[in-house]
Amino acid sequence: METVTTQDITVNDLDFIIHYNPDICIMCGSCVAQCSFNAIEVAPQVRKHEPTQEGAKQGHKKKILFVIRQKTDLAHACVGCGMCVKVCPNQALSIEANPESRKNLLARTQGVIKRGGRASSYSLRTLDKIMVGRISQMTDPALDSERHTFDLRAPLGRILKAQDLPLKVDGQSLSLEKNCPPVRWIYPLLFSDMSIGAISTRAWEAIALACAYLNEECHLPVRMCSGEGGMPLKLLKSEQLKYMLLQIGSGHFGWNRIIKSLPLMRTDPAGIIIKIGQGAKPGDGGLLPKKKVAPHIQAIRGVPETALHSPPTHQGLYSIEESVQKMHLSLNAAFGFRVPVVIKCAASLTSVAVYNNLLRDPYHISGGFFLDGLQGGTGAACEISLEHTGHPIVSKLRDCYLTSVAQGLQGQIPLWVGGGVGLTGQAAADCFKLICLGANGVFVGKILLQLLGCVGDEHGRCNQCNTGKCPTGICTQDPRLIKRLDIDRGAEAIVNYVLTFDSELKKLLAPIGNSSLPVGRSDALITSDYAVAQKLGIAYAC
Amino acid sequence: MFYLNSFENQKRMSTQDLLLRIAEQVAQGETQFTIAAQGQHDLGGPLWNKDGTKLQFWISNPGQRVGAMALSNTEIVVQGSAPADVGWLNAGGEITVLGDCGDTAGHSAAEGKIYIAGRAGTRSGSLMKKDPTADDPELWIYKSTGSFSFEFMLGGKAVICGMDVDQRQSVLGDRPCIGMVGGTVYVRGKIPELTPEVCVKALNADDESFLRQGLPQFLAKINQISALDELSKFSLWQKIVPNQSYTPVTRRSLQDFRLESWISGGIFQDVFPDKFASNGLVARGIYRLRVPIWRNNLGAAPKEKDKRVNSCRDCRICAVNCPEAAISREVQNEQVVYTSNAELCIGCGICVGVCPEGIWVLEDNFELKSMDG
Amino acid sequence: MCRIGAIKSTTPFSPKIALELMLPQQEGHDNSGFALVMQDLAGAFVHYKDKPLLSMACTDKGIQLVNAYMEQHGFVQLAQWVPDVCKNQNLNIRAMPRYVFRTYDLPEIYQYRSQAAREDFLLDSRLELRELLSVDNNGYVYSFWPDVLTLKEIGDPYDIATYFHLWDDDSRLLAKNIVVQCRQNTNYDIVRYAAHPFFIQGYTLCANGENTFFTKNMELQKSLHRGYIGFESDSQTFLYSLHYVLHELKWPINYFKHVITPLLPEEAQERPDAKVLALIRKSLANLEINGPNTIIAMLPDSTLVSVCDAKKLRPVVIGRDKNLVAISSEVCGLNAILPHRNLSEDIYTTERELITINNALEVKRWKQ
Repeated sequence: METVTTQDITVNDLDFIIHYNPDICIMCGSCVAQCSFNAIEVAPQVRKHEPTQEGAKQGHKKKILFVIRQKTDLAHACVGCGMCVKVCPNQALSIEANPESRKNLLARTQGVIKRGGRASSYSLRTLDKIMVGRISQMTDPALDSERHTFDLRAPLGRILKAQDLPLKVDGQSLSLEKNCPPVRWIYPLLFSDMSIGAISTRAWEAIALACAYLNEECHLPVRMCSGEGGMPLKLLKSEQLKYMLLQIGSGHFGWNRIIKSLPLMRTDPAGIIIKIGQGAKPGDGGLLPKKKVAPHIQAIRGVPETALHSPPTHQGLYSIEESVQKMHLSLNAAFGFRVPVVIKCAASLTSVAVYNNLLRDPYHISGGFFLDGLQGGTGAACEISLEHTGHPIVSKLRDCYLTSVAQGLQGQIPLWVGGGVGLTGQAAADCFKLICLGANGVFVGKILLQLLGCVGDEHGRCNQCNTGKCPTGICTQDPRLIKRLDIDRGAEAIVNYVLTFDSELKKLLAPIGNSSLPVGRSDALITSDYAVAQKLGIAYAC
Repeated sequence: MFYLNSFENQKRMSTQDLLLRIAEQVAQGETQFTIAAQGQHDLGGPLWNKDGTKLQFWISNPGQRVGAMALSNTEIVVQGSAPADVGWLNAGGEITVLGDCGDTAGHSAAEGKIYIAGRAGTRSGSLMKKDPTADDPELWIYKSTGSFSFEFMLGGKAVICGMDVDQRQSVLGDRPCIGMVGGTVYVRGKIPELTPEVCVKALNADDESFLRQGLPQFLAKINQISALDELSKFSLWQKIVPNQSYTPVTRRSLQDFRLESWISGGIFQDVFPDKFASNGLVARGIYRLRVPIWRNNLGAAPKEKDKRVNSCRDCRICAVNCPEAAISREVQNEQVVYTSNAELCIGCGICVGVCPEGIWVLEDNFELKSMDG
Repeated sequence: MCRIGAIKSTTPFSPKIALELMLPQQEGHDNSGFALVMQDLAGAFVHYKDKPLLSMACTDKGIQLVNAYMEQHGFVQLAQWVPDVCKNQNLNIRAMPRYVFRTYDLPEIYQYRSQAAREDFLLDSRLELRELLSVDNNGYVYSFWPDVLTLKEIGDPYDIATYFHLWDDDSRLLAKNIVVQCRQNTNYDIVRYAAHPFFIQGYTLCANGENTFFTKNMELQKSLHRGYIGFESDSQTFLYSLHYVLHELKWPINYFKHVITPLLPEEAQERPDAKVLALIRKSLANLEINGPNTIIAMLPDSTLVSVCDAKKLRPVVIGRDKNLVAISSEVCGLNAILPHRNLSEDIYTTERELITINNALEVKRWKQ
């Protein structure tokens, strides 16, 4: 017998335990063949042999069986993705999360833990404590969600105060004396920024495809943000560019290619988004491990094969006033002041200060404030940032909205929020509540990946987006794994989800009697949490 | 004849007092009523004479819901216009309004007839019903209706004559017949844009016969018999009925959309060509995650049945256990050689696991640099 | 819900006509109050048409406070009408001790100031008086404006009218325009300020229905103008939006309709002023209403306005004869005061219309 010491790592030290029933296993090899984490293997198992005949020799009391065995070293620890369970024809495998896992501790003996996905603070969701409590009964008629006409569109771009509009009275009508900042009128659900590189070409294209489909086949003006990993040249040169918001992050990846494409563009993009921070890992820049910097990523981002770090901040920005001006101005100018330029920040105690700076900017140069809360997803982050930095989105949105209300500036810089929207699967409810609290729209990322097939969750399942070993072909650049992703089926799932989202959003609008978005209608919400009611200024109910 | 003026010396009877007075009279056998109303609601129904004699009402200035829940054998004539909900839930009454009707005239009418000499308001005819055991409810309108008319209509017949209406204007307001699933709306005049759930059709012989029978009666009730000739030009009429062949617009499949309308060849075609075929979790050949290598004693193939440590003992256990029968055994130059056929092998590593000598090793498959080779 | 109405006539008439308009609609409201605004007055104030008229209800202490304030600020009292009230105990009215309708001369300095300055001064004075009387519930200031008289009270409209002798044709109380409403019971507290019509700087408005976008409207309006206060009723926001669009932005009245019930973007795109409409919708998204409402308004020049929500969820009808036009929630009100009018001339305001009636009784229907 091999000696086992207390310090050896065994299965019960790991996050997931694979239960295996050799009696029904047919040793087809599927589970081991497909495991991208190489977490299981075929191994001999010595068993006690019950002799069936008298006089069996002593040496034959043992027999050898071949079984599927979970690897116990940390580098090959099972991540619970469950693909093996999926492929097993006999359900001979099952996976159980191990509440006694010591992995969190032990893995730190090998350096900083990196992973993808969302923070695990699932139980902290304020949105689930809020209900739509103001239902039209006698006072005003509710609407029919399926038959009435709804107008579900949200602004993206700088909106001026009515008294500042360059309008001239011309008899009985008004005429425009000069142009105003560009404003797009888009669907209140935006596909948010996941970069090419962080996710596979197919996954990115599936989302772009779903976005185009929703516009052209379903007439929903959904927009998608590129992420900070550049843009495919063919898309830059296409009409479909109009559905895209191009992101510039602190790493500025891909922008040389975007700039060179300017003369080739047939249409303007929907917007430009300056990424300052990300809710999942505020204060931490983007991170693309070398493993994912495949040749095509090098080509799109315009980089050599190396690990790509985006600095935590844009290095050319020295002060908030300057950030507002310099960054917005350059990008406004690049697109001839025809394209809204918006900014995305991680929610923070300082968000109100940032929003005030944008609101009070005399040049009206910022077209949107995107706030990303701590339950947002990421393709790669240090777990310590993921779990211990960030700010919940709900109260921060409310703070920003109310600061704008106090100044009579509400709605002038549209507030878009994200970070865990749809985390429970019900993005429409989250979206509706956030809109009632003052958001103009919401952005989602992680749920799009989940719709494509991602199985990562907030209980530690998978979340190996940073390893390049994504078993679903979504967060990887490995062609063998990408090949697993059916682009049409993936895009279809996103499309169908958004159509359901649309119906569900109307289902919530109808009972409060509204046919257009109830931005700031906090009177429609209630909560049974008194502290939440106080903080958000909504009705307490019990 | 019972005559009642509900408004004297600036004193107005409440609806309750007025309705109770009428009920009292009906109970006493009175069947004819002339009511000078002052906006009281619910005049005319639901009332019945115990002997089955017809009840007749002549009403001026009623409030809302005149003729609401009226029963058959009730005849109501309103002198002038009436506010909202004329004939609401009409259960068989014949209600004539010699003026305009407010919003939701004929709402949920299930039987009987409503004759309107003027216009009907917004949402008129909404939820008109059809009781299979009774005659269709009818709603006759001489002029036009307001918007959102015939919403959620379930059955019955509505006739909009379009008289005295500007030819350029819809006689049904905007957005009529939303959610209409039954019944027929006969229209003479301009029809606005309709939901695809309903369709406009020409009249057939049954329709013409219905109008031919009903029009003289209607026009007589509203004192417009001279319009009969004009209204009998059936070529000027159309009808709106639920679109039986309506199927919600079918969307193209994502694949068709991608092939027909998406950027040809995909957006990464220039840097990372992809034909978008997909594999299952278990893949073969170049798509395997790992490949088994038969690495016999650093490459030196042993003689058959040579049993040196770390060299193949030719036990065939790998070949026997390979689930895909991918392993073949050959003898070359008197030496045995095992190979795994890439086209069959899934890279499961069973051969590696079962080999008693550790000859088979599993290596990462780095063969693939692009999507298809 | 409320029942609302307005009457405009070429000759001055008494509030009795307005009562007759509302009485048949009793089951449509709940008989809990009565309020009217009269404009273009004859009778007691006929010689003071350019002098601001203070309309208020207060306690004796309230009178003293107001007198002191007016004196201190240089107002000189001119004419006054003190209603002769009927103290019958059986009347259903929650009367205030004193009702004051007085005209004043502006402080001398304002006689030389611009019209705009005078308008602002009158507004500020009203707001200060309101503030002054709000302490210890000493009274309510409804309007302070030339040629405008406001009367509001809690109780049965019939009894309120009896209390103020409005059923009698009192030649001292006449006007060419009356906007009227018969409900005091708001959905929440009973507050006199919550009763329509509401008034600010010559703009009068009443509405019925619940304003589902009240919170949105109010949150913006609070910062738009110092006069946008109170919000005791969710319909006050309609008045403030009207005042904002016409008085502050100075936009043509059609744009009031565009602000409160914007066209769908695809419809707006077809319009010649598409760009303007798109801008307005975005800039004033917070003033949008989402129903169910119908609105009756009176402008400083006495033009009457009728407009509805985009789903037309509340009734309204306009009827007329040669000398008089009336807007009423229900046609039975018109039947009561205009029994012999030509019914086919009645106008049922649609969800996309804005209707104005000028002093020559010309009705203009504008389609959005």
